[in-house]
Amino acid sequence: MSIFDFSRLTQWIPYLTQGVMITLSLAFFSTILGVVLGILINTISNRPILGRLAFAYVDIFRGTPVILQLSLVYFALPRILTLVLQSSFGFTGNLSISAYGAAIITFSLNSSAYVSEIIRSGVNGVDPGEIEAAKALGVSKFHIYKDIILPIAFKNSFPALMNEIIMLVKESSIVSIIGLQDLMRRQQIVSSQTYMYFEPLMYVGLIYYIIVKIMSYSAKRIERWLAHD
Amino acid sequence: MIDVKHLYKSFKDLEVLTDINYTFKQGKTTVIIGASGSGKSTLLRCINRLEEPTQGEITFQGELITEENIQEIRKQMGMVFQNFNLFSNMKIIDNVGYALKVVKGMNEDEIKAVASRRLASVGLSDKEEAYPKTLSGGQKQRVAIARCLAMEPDVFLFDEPTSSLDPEMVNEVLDVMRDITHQGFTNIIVTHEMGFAKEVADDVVFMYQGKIWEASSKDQFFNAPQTEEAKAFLNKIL
Repeated sequence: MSIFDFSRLTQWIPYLTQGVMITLSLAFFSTILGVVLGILINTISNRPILGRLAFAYVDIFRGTPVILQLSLVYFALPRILTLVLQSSFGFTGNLSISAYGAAIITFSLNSSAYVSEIIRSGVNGVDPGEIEAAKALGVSKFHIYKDIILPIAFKNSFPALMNEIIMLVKESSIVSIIGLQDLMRRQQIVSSQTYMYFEPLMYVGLIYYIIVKIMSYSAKRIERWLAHD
Repeated sequence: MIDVKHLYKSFKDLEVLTDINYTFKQGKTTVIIGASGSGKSTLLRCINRLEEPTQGEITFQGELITEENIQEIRKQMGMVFQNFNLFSNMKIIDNVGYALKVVKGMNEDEIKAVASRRLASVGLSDKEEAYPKTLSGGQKQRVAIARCLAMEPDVFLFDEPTSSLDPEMVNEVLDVMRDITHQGFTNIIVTHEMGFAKEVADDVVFMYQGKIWEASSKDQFFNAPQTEEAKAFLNKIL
């Protein structure tokens, strides 16, 4: 018997590989929701009271570990809501949230905090002269934001946004703590059943690496395409 | 046409405009000259409220300009900037057509026709599909002028339109501007091009330290300036 025995891994490969769907769909939906929320946060960041709230929101999500946020959403929030409903409305059931739902909520909220910062610096990079030119033509604030600021800011922040998605692909691996069967969780299950660690870890690591490589390669291509103007 | 009354503008503690009073006449070309920092550009930017006046009022065709009506009034005032300020994310044709779409609500065919015609009038038909960054400074400024022309404004505000151009490109822009001054618009031009000012101006406003120091007809100003400061200024640059 050799030190590494990948032949024993063969029967587990389909099971491990299916984790890709969870990992990718988590990163995908969380990024989309994160970008939408991030833009929203950005649009209110200049309002007097809402802006303060937005700042606090971003500050808290960036200032605490995502594993804590995930635990809060999955374990603590349903319990607190249940207690509140029971005490004030005589609610008798028990609220719970699916692991997948909790993961999407957590990562969307978390990434929106980062995305809003990315968009903010992208917006700051828009030439104020272009905004003035649009104003001087009588263009409304809404159209200036939609047609000039956002597209240019998006282009400016595209590399950072792609980086955020890639981070999300990797960081989503902590959903294994709430039992969601992503790549990492499946590795743990296989390892505990077979006492094999190195081989499944290597295999799962390779999958992460390939995903990240494909994403960063596509990002480069898109960046080059965006640079046309 | 445009009446400026007791206009003051300060940035923090720095007063850049002090008690400006002047009437820009309909259909005339007024050139504003003066040293850097004398408040010329700020005055121009107060007129279309890119700067909010600290005090005083400006009326446009008898109507007081306010934060509420400025968007309507801007439709009748084209502004050409020192740094061109083309929309970097849009093709040249869309730079010219954009405001026609979102401000005037014209349909795609009309927009295309108007934008093409205006680009042709500044000699840039071959650049319709290009992006701003591929153009020279002179070409960018001509696009910026076409962008204003397309809106068919009554007033043209030029804020040092040739100051950031390489010398060999100044004339192509001045040629287009000269054309505009022959078309009956009300033009207000901030410029350091004295030769051009002498040629196209009807009236001249000379600013010094945030005040209108001297205002008169072109002939009077260039042939017989009244103040020492204006004489010194003209001596320095002519």
